Parts: sequence; structure tokens; C-alpha cells
Amino acid sequence: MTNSLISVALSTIGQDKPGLVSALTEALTAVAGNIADSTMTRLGGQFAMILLLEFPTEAAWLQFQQALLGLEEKLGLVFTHKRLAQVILPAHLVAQNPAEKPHRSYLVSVAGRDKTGITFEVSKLLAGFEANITDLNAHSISGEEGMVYILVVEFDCPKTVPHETLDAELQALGTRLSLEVRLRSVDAIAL
Amino acid sequence: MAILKIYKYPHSVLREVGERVTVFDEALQTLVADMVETLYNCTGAIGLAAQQVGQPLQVFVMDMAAASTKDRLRVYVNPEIIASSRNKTMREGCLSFPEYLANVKRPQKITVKAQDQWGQWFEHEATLLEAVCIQHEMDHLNGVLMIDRIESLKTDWITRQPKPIAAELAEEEVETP
Repeated sequence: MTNSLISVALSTIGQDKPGLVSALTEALTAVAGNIADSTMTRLGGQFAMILLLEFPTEAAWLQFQQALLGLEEKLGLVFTHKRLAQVILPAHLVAQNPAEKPHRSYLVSVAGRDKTGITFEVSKLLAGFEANITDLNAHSISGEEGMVYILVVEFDCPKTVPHETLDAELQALGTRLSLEVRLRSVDAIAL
Repeated sequence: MAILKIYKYPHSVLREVGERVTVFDEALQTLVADMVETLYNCTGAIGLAAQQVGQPLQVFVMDMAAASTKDRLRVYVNPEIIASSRNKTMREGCLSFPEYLANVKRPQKITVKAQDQWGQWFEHEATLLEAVCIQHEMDHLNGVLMIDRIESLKTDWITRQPKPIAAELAEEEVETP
């Protein structure tokens, strides 16, 4: 990404149908736009999409906005978009060598009988360690004894927090809420 | 024979390390026969571990042809991997996680040593899907689940939508390292 590019976050959710992505990318290609990052999934039976788009010029971005209006009518979706400022990360946050990073990456899986506040309790605990959640997947499924909630969270936690401390706190939370909690490090190994 | 109940995550029996089998008696033969019948009752499934039917033992059954001819049944008791090759990522499903798939990296060629249901030792070399299935089932015997094997939530953990499929394992290769 260069400074001259225009970055835009675009999101939508609605009824899934064939050709949705194709129609959107066709409009994007027509203005020489680029998908820098994307998440597309089905959420509660609906198609949900968040795209990070880049446009070469202001005119291209304006032209794409016009195309979006037509796409909304054609696809029966409503798009929301937000212009993003350029974010330049400090070097220590983009270091590729895990040894140079100020944090460790973890993945925690939490599962148990569905009840209000599981995600809140887990995220509150992590926030208390100044951990930063980088991805989260939550799903309620029907289990043998009612609904089961499965939450998987990927997060970065400062290296100053010992793995054992983090695990002990999460296990205590699991015991308190009758949840299975599994924490593990997912740091890449530098070879 | 009987069709057994399949335990789903997060049932605690799935986290139990299976005991080694030392007695190859009638009870074991019955369990194996029931596991085989249960396996064949799950459309698309090719493997089933004892933990999944609530028995924490070092036993699993597998039939790579379960979806069609049902003629490649193998029973593994007290299995050990004695050789393995480089890793490959495959997409796995699990009867105990009927709503998820996971991309898991495992050796694509293994040699496994195990006993059959009568206690006779054998060695078997397996590749690709069969090798993955054996390792997936051996994980069950040690209380390890596919959610413990993923490396990235974004790329390796997939919500299966909208219809849960009762496939035990593995539909496609997703990466060749």
C-alpha cells in the first residue's frame, strides 16, 4: 500500500445469492480498484462481507460509489463504507521475527452450555492483561443437553504476562462458568 | 450389535486419554462390533474412536471404503506411529464437531503399529487421507481434538454451513507444503 492509494472499508450483510462477489469485483475492476484484505462468511444464514479496498484515485473511488448504488438495487443489499486514514505501524509491531515482537500470539477455545456473557467475560479477562483480540469466532450449536456455545479467540498478549498466569486465569474463569477452556500459543517459529 | 451414542464437543470424555487395552475379551469384541456398526451408520464417516462413543480406551475403527463397499475395515488397538514423513495440510471434519471443519497439518505418510481386536500385532503403512484419518483417530485416543491442531482461526477453522454433514474426515487437500 502506498500513500497515494485511497483505502476504504466496505461491508454488507444480506441474503446470499450466486454472482454477488462477481458483481462487486466486476465494478471494482472497472475502476482499477483492488481488494487489499477481505472476510466473507455466512453469518446466521446470511452472507456477510467486510472488504478493505484500495483505489488509485479519488475519481475511481467516486465512480465506484456510483456503481455501488446500482449494485444495491441489483443485489438487494445495503453497503456501508468508511474511508480509512493511512495507518503506519511502528516498526516493533510489524517485526516478522517472533523474538522481536512485544507480544505472544495465542488461541483460546472456550465451550460450554450457552449462557449470557461468555464472550464478555473472556474478552474482559483478556483486556485486563492488555491483550488484543485479532480474530474471534463464536457459534451456538445444539448439543445433547441444550445449546452449546463455542468461542474461539485469537489474540496477542504482552510478553510480560507469563503463559502460566494467563492460563491459570482462564482456567479459573472456565471453572466459574462451567466451561472447557484450552489455551495454547500459536506463535510462528523463526527458522 | 448396537448403534452407540456419539459424544460431541465439549463432552469431557473427549478429553480423556484412553487406557491401553490389555484384555482382549468378549466385552472388547462387542465394543468393536458396536463401533463398526455405529461407523457404518454415519453416512460418509470413515473412522470412529472409542472416546467418541464414551469409552476412553486405545481403540479405533476405520474403513476407507465405508461410504461404498465397506470392505476395508481395520481395527486399531493400542496404536503407535513408528515412522512418519513430511507434513501436509488437509481439511478434516469430525463426528464430534459436526458443524466445523479444520485445516490441520499432519505427516502425509506414516507407519503405524497396532494390535487388532484379538491382540495380534500388525504394522501398516498409510498415506494421504488414510494417514490423516489414522492420526485424527489417534488424537482422539489421547484426548486431543482438531480444534487443538489449528494454527490460525482465520485460515484453519471453518464453520460448516448450512447443513451439518456427518463425515468423519477429510474432503479435500488444501495445501501442499
